[in-house]
Amino acid sequence: MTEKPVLYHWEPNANSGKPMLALEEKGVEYESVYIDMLEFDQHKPEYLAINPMGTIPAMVHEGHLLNESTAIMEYVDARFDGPRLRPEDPAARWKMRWWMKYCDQYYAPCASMVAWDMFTGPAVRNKDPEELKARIEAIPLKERRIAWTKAIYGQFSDEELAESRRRVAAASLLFEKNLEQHEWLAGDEFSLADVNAFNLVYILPHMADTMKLPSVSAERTPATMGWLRRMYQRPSVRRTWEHSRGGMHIDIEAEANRQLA
Amino acid sequence: MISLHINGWTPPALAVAIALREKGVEFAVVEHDWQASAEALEPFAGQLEPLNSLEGEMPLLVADGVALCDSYFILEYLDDRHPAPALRPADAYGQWQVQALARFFGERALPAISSLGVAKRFGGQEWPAETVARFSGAKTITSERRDAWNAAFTDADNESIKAESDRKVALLFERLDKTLAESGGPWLLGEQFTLADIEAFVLTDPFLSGPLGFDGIDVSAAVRTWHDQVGQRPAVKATLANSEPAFVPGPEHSRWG
Repeated sequence: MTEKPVLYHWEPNANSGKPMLALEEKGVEYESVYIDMLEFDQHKPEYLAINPMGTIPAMVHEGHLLNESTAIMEYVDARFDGPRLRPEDPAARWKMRWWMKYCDQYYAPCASMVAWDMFTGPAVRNKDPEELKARIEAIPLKERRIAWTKAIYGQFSDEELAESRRRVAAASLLFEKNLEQHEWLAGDEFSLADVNAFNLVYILPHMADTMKLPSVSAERTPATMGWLRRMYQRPSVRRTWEHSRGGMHIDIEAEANRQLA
Repeated sequence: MISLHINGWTPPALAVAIALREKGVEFAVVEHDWQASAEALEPFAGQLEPLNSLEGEMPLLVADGVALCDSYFILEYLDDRHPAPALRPADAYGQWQVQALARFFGERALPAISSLGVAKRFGGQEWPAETVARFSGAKTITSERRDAWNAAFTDADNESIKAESDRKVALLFERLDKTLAESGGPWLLGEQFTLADIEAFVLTDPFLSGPLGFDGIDVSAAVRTWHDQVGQRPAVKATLANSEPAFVPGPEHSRWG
């Protein structure tokens, strides 16, 4: 019996949701530590003592600190017993990794820019201005300091927001083409690519109106909607979402039983 | 027979060739004129990934009937497909280390090195309209890739991109020095030569013995020694012996955060 990993995470979505869902799929017990991103808990000294980069999620296991959510998921699959979450066939494994990178470096950052502009920034903007300034200064990585500054003060330009919206629309169509050909993203077998993508794609059907972001919908991407329903039917999603402190706002039962044409 | 499609010996193309030789896998090189990079993708249009790769058009490795793109994932494929000699640690933590480094190399360092290489190769000259049109009108590449090629033809000397690239190259050398100090060498992860050494070598070689200058970059003795040792490996020597280093537009610099 190996030691229980400790996972530091925020709400069970986006990057935090990836290792949470991978651990549940693998059937690994872990100690969950909720880090409230909207309170900037990830930049406080207690957390920086654990992860000096001040990023979430992070996992501590057998004396090692692991970050980079996609690499943590591969670690989970390699290190623990349980169902295989990466295909055995090397070409299918390549495909799994290709789609994870497409999510991590293209699809997710663009959807995230729109969401930060419309949700995360406004959610913290009403704090005391001096306190906000101090909290931004406490962010260790330069890139993250810039990201938070832009979100908090609403500094994304119209051009970059429009480009992000265009990319989300394009990426959702490429996903659709892949899911028209295969049941799961890497082929016939459920894999970490599905875990990765679910944490980004689940919200998109709900962003169409509120965030003026038409991307994933029954009319536009029916194969993706079918894949989302298969994902919502997995018990791992329910267990993962039990860690939410009220930020998910989606009825799992309704999604798992959604009527599709 | 496995074939490696390249549009010049770019750092990612060199990495794949080195890995193939480390594995002792026979392969044929198919070299496309860089000006035909977009057209060269037409035979692979039956697959979604090669035409949408974030890394660029090439290298592509055609193996087992599949066109594999994105050089780091090709390296992992080769290590999965041809397990001996192993180029990743046997333990999960070591594998995580290689992947975490790969993310940094691919997302931070490669865009920077590509920008500096493109400035050298494409900058300070007028490009004929026919050449530009082969990319601006190409249907086989994404709009981001069309923009990347257009920027190479019209804005290769952009000073703010050069400054940002210099900053990232400095971070690369710092990180390599730190990684070697932590592992104790001789390789990045310690006793075992891994995919991380191959990746880091092709990214640093343009500065340490290739055409790119590195004024103001602090290169430690440990990094130089490591680079020399990688350069002595037969697979690396054989690859460099037959290749003129080349640069084409690389992956996009991160747009946000």
